[in-house]
Amino acid sequence: MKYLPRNRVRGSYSKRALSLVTIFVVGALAFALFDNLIITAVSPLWRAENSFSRSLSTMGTFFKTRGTLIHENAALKERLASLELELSAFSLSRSENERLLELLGRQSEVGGVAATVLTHPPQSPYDLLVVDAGEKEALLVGAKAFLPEGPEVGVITQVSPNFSRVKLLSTSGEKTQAVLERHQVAVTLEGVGGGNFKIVLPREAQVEVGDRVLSADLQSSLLAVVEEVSLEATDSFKEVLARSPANIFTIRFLIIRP
Amino acid sequence: MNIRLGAVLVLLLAIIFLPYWLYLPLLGAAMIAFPFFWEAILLALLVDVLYGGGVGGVAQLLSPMAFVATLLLIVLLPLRERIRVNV
Repeated sequence: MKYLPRNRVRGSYSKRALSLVTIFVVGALAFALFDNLIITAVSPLWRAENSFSRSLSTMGTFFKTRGTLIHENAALKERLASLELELSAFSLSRSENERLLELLGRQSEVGGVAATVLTHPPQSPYDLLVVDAGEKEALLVGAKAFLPEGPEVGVITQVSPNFSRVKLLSTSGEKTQAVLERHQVAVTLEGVGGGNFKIVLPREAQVEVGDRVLSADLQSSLLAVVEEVSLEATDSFKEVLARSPANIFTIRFLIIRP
Repeated sequence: MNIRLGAVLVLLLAIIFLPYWLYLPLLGAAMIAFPFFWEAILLALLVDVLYGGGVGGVAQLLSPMAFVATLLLIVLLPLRERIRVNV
């Protein structure tokens, strides 16, 4: 039987390992240099993919049966009615909020920069979005990203001339100060990834599925909705799982405000 | 060589268009299937540039995905010698 000489194997192993480390270091430096260029080059592909997938989804409706459409229509009417109710409640609290802001001598912020989302999870393994607005649109690091409907979803973490990165509030380990609307309890919303959050509350705190979690600032924008409350008989704390009102896998547009 | 180049191209397209739960296992499989698949480091760096916090700055030299890929490749070097799987 023939064996490879030990010294040769060890020598080639360390040489190969060293060359892998060199590739990693040189590659990281090169990619860091051409960071913006790479994203600018890939952006048109992402845009094309987004428009293609949208046209594909509209094509799908062509093949739906009459029964399915009737059923869907009824469900949508029900949903519309409940949303109208929610909206009326929302407008009451909004006007109350604006009155409070006036009393404090502050004005509610409106407007902002509209941005198209180029990539979102699950393409990205991290809870990060890339949007097509950047320094040219006067965006700054730390600006907040909202859905067009109102809820806050993340914060700008990197700005380049043509694009920006938005770190979602649900990024794993990300902590956000918030308020549980039911009894105005201050809570820490901890991101666990995939648009989900975890809140740890004392056992006595009242919380139910469907409760809203609002931002701790004056705007009180919606951050999450309670989905599940788990409590063991022996626990002194209850764990609340909340979900972002936005489906982070289908976000198309964002409004960025300073 | 052609298969290897084809695999790199497929992985590149997968990273740009497909969800991570598809391209990450594909990347892992390619690292096992091909000997000394150093291209995986560059592809992992691309993932970090496109979807992560970028790879700018010294702190981000340890970009998570590429770092894991490099470690995996180093671990796989002696293992592959023993398994003797050759493509």
